[in-house]
Amino acid sequence: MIDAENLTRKFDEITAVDDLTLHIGEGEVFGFLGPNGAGKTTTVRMLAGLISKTSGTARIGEYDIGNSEDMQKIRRMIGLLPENVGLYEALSAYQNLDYYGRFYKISKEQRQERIEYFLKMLGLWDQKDLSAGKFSKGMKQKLAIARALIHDPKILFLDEPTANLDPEAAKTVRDFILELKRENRTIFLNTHLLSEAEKLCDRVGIIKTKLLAVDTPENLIQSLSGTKTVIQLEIVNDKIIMAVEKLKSGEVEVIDNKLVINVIDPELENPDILKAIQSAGGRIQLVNEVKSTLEEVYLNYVRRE
Amino acid sequence: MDFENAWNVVSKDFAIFKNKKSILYTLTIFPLAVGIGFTIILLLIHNASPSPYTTYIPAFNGLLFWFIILAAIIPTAVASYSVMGEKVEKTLEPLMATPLTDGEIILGKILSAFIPCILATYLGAIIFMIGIDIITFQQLGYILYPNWTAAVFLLIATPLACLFGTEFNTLISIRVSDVRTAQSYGVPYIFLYLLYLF
Repeated sequence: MIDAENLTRKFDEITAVDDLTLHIGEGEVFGFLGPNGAGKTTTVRMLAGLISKTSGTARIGEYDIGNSEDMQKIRRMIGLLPENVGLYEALSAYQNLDYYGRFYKISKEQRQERIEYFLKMLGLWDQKDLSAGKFSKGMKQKLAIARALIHDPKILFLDEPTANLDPEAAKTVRDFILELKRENRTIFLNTHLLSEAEKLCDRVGIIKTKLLAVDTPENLIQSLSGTKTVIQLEIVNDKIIMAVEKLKSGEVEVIDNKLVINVIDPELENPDILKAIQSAGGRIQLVNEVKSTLEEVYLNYVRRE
Repeated sequence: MDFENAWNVVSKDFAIFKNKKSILYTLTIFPLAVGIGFTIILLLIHNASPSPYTTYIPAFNGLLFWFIILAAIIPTAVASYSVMGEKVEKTLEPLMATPLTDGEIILGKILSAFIPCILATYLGAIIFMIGIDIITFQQLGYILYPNWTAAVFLLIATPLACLFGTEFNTLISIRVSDVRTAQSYGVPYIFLYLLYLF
């Protein structure tokens, strides 16, 4: 549904997105992760036709983003929630949505129907006649999402949809994205929130100008040496540490009276580790298994660059 | 070019202008002040040194020139706000993600400033002409306005000046980052250009 090949964007001497190759399937929720200035928003802006590419190609469906005629068709297929919601603050929620609906040649009756549907779904129907300037940040974000959906697009670009929202509003937005996922829409989600990406996305990509990794959150976590075994001891001494280091050299971290050991196959490795600790005179109080998180994977990739 | 799309931009801007006091004041106070003000000044001048109104007719016609300037200057406020409002509220990005073309946006922006500005100028001019007719009718024995001079001034020169002012300010507003900068460039340039033209 979204195919980018060697997509690059430069601003004078600065390369914002470098050689991005990416394929996103229909109905997929794709999370784009990266630090500030990594090129996430630039990528969305290129794919949505808001800025031109410097080189490379990208297709949305069967249409080329480099072709101005195709771009008009692409704009009918996509919905965009930009980083800044960009609502007309002097207009009511209803007027904001109605204005955008007209550009897609949706009949008046259909516009009324859709506006009512989305505003009710997002809990804004009672405020439909209130000017958008009087809305809270969360309400504005929801209204902007409704605007992106007014023409029933197959593909949605959501740039930081829950940024700056309180936890309750963020949850409403996340639940709504899950609802959109069930409707089999293709969603390109830019986010800083790794837990959000883990919950919502089928696959994630980590970008820092270049694309560093793309996979399912589970596979990416698995790729980062799997899990950790945390062993709480009565006392940790050098003899115990050396005994474990013999088995897992460079993979042992000591935090207070705990040993945190990176393991690939816990069922195979843990019995040997425990045996080594006991042989070194260690008294084991507790053994826990902790899986790596997407945050660790993300930091691992981003710091490496 | 889809005119319906451009008109959609115009009707949205009109809905915003209705709630924007500074725009409403610009569109009403300036034309009213010029229309009523000129009539009163002429009346005062005539009362101070009474002479037949026929000698004043060139002066009356000459004052119509100010409506051309007015038509060119009012758009500095309206066109600047229309474009800068989109920039300040960051609404251009979602707008450009719709099937609306750049040409339709610009046409919409020009019309949304041109229409209220020309109507406001005509309001001032009509008040002026009616005022002059009321004052002079008894002595002249005929209605002075509308006449061919007024028709040329108001139906040809004024819309052209208004269109020039609107386009000039729309283009400036696209380039700069706030309303005041746009206006501070717009007013002197337009004024100088019109003085040069006439």
